[in-house]
Amino acid sequence: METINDLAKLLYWGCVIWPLAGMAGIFACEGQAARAKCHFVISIILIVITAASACLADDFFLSTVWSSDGLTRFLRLIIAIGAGISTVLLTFWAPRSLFFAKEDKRSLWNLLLFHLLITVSMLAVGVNNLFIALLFIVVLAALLMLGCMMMQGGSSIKAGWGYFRLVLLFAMMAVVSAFLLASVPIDNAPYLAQFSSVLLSVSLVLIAGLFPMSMFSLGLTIELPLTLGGIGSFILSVPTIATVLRLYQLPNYQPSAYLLIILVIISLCFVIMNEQNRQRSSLCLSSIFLVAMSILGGIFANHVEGVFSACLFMMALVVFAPLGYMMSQKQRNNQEACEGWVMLALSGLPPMGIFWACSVLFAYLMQTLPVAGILIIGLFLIRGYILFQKGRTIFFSPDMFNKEIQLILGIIITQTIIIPFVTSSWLYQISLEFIKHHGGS
Amino acid sequence: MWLSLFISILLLATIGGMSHPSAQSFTHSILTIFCLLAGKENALDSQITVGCMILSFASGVVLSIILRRQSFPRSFKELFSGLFFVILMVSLIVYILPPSLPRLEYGIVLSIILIGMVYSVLGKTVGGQIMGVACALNALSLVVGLNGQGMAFIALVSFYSVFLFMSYVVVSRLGRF
Repeated sequence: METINDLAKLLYWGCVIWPLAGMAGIFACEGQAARAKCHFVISIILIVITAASACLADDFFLSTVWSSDGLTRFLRLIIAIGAGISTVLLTFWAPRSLFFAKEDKRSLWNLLLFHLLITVSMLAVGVNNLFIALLFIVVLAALLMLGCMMMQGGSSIKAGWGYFRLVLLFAMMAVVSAFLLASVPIDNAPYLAQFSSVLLSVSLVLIAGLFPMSMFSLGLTIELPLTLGGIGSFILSVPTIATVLRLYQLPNYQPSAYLLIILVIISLCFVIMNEQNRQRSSLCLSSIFLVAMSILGGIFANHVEGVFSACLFMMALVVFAPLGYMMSQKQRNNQEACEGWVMLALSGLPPMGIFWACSVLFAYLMQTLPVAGILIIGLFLIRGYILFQKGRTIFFSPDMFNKEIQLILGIIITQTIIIPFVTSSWLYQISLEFIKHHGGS
Repeated sequence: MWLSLFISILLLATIGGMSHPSAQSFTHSILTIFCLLAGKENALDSQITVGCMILSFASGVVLSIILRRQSFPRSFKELFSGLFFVILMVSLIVYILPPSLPRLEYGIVLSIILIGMVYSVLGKTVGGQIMGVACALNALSLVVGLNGQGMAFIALVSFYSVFLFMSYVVVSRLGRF
């Protein structure tokens, strides 16, 4: 089981940190030059943050699952070195003209805000403490609101204020339920653990924007500026996913599996229903999707020590990446295909781990909860059918192989090709253990 | 005994409110301080309790300054929905919590947070929305102050400061709506 924990950590850090780096750099600005420049800056920030997080003491409130052992520190160090290598490569490899382009004031504001968001999000992930993570999540929401105020006016300020209020209130609820969970006496409180677990997980899910975004009565993301809403909900979901994943490892925590599975299926249905809604960014939808999948992963994390939660997270990425790219092809005119770049960056994850994890995961899901597995696969099929009907089957555009794209692809490959090599021996051991414990997949 | 009394009055102040948010915020923070004083003997960490008192008082003063030109009407519908939530939450939590915990207090605190949430989401004016969040934050400071957890206190301090800053920004930008 020790190996499984190690792999879970490895996958976790691999999945969380690289997408952030790729996404922020590529998304932030208009035009390839600004994107490459932003990526350069973000990589430098990443080095500092990961180095800092390697020194942080792990002090999760109720449990120390992601403890500050040698492997975790090593991973953080590796990620810092990877970011450093990519920075150096970018500096020497990129055409000079990429770094010297004129930018208007608005894109500079964009850049500043996104750097702040990424930094806060990274800290929230790096800090292994429930309260501090909640604190960072609230600060993220406040930054988003400030972004609304700086760049927009009127209704979007109201939307930003509404979003901030909801996040703050649910964070408070999470703190109270964490206190309740801490005071669970084992012998004489049959319902308390369940009650506080439900309260805690539901409030975290709500923070991540599952319900605020899907409830038509609130409709917050429609009013939020499209780019801010998309990136904000995406980044906000990263620390929340990290917190949710850790929750499932607490000794007193009793995940209410059926409630959360229902949430997942509702959110999947919501994604499918809103496939044609042009007002909603596909990034918003993908963040809902990620949160839903991580919840589902967390349910199973209780059984197999957390590795499948990470696998699910990756599966969500790999399933969504090409679809998101296809969707962005449709929106090329009004959003300059930036979402496609994000998805491309996300899909640069270790391929071996993904395919292995998907097969084992589906096998496990079908073994333990066949109804839920069939439902989810059916929803995926419906989603694919809808996309196919609309003719969105273009995976790659003709101008795929110019120099700038080669550059970004090169960075993705440089950072992600090492991890499959490192993980391959672990993956083999995990598969052996899985077959031993669960009778084959 | 005293804690239960004060906390009940705090609940009433949350439900009933006043038409003037400035006065309500000050009253609410004073009542929170009374609650913390009443429960101070049984608190786990007296320093954190004192810290929460100071926080609550400071936020009350700042909010009463920020909200001095605001007003919000509170309809019968809101009052009744608040009462309904109180009855539901308190009875549910008293049923769920074991006798070793202060069941009534936890129930009332959770219901204050829920009522604050409902008022904050449903509130039509900025003043009413800010007051809803402020009530919930005061209730949270009660929990943190009596249970004494250092990290939670740090989180509470930053919740308060971010919230106060944002409410100042919102009142200055949206105050006329």
